[in-house]
Amino acid sequence: MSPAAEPLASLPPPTGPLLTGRGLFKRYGRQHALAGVDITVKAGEALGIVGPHGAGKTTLLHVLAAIQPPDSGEVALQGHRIDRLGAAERGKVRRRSFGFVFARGKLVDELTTEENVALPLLVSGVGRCRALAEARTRLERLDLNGLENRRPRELSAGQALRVTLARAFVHGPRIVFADEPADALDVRTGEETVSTLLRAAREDESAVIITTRDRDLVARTGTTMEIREGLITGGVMAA
Amino acid sequence: MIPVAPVWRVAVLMGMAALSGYGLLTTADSDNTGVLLFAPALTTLSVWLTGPWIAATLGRLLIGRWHGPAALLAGRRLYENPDAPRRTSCDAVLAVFLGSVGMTLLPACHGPGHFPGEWTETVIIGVLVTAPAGWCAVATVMTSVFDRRHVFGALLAAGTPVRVLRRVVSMEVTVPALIAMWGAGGGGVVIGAVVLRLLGAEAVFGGWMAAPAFLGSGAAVVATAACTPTLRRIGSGTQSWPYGHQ
Repeated sequence: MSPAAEPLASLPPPTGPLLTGRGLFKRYGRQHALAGVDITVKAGEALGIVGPHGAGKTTLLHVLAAIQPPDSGEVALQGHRIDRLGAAERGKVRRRSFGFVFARGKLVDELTTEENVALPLLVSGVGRCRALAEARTRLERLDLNGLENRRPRELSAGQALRVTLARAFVHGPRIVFADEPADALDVRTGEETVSTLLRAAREDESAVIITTRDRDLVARTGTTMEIREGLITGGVMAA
Repeated sequence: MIPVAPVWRVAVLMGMAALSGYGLLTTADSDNTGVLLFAPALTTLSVWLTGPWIAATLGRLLIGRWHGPAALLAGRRLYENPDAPRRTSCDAVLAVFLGSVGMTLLPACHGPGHFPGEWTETVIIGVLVTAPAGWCAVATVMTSVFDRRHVFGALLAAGTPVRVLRRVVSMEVTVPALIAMWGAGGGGVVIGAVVLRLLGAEAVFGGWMAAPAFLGSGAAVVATAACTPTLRRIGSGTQSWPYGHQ
């Protein structure tokens, strides 16, 4: 586990499910984004969620990651309800326990590579030297040596995505949420990125939830679910 | 690297300030009207030119000494994009500058003994300064947030507290604006004194001359606080940030 100055919740090692969502509903206006989703994620599991554009993949990720509360239903992390927490508390849960890989990276343009990677640690209160050292170690593990002082604009799309992966894992999260991580990449780079993501999750014993429209990519995860019109339609199958 | 030839910018500033000082000191002995009218305008221009350099220098200071994410983000932003604060805050700075000139001239219009008893003019100047300064400060802050709504959205989604990003905005927008406003306020007082001397009167210095800079600064601070609801909205996920609903 990586260092964090912010006192972490002393949640015991998970024995049951790591993350559960039960009866999740969410609507935007009249449109149902989630229409009663049940989902369970085990510790260290790699879960792929596949579905077409507008199926509810990102909304499901938002709700599971406590970015947005559901309209009804419940989300629990190691048995503790997180959907009813206030915004600040949900932010704390995300900061401590979750990592994020956003579509198209979302690196901070003005920061160097190592500063981008160190950001989750700095936000958690880890000191400058320690955070940067941890970031450099994480970059090395993802074969990004020598790129520490480059800016995102000086990186290839694949390199930028790997930097995003380093940022997602740097604070030792229990779950990494990856929303269409291969969205803006060519097929080969996309496959490499997802492979790197899954390898990093295995090494860190983190669970990972990946959304994508690409069935070939999702087949690389351990468990696959299909979502359409806010409902899990494809069942759960081990790949 | 500090952007766009700071040396010549500073040289222009120093040269024009020296010219203004020379004009101010020699007016009583000779007819330096041309110098007096020309030099202040160029001084103002050179301050405007030097703004990005000041912002970049402030950025470099923050980069060298940061201990938290807010100082890092603000320092890098100021250093990499020092023109941004000037683009939107120059109107506010101009308002403070003109307000300070007005405050310096005001006692001469009524006689020193009457000021600050002439509250009508004082209030008018205050409103004329605060309204544009406040408006520009809000525009500057909102531009700073909206320019980076995707990145801010991603940071908030990842659990970054709103207060950290509010501090970023404060450091990269409000602090340079305060420096510029107090500089403009000082410059306005000097120019007001020069104009009075041209008219054969002497300036009466007092605390009221700082009122425009004080009001402009207050507007900038309030504007920074006003970005909090916007940041919360970005972080709530009700916007299509950091990615659209799918």
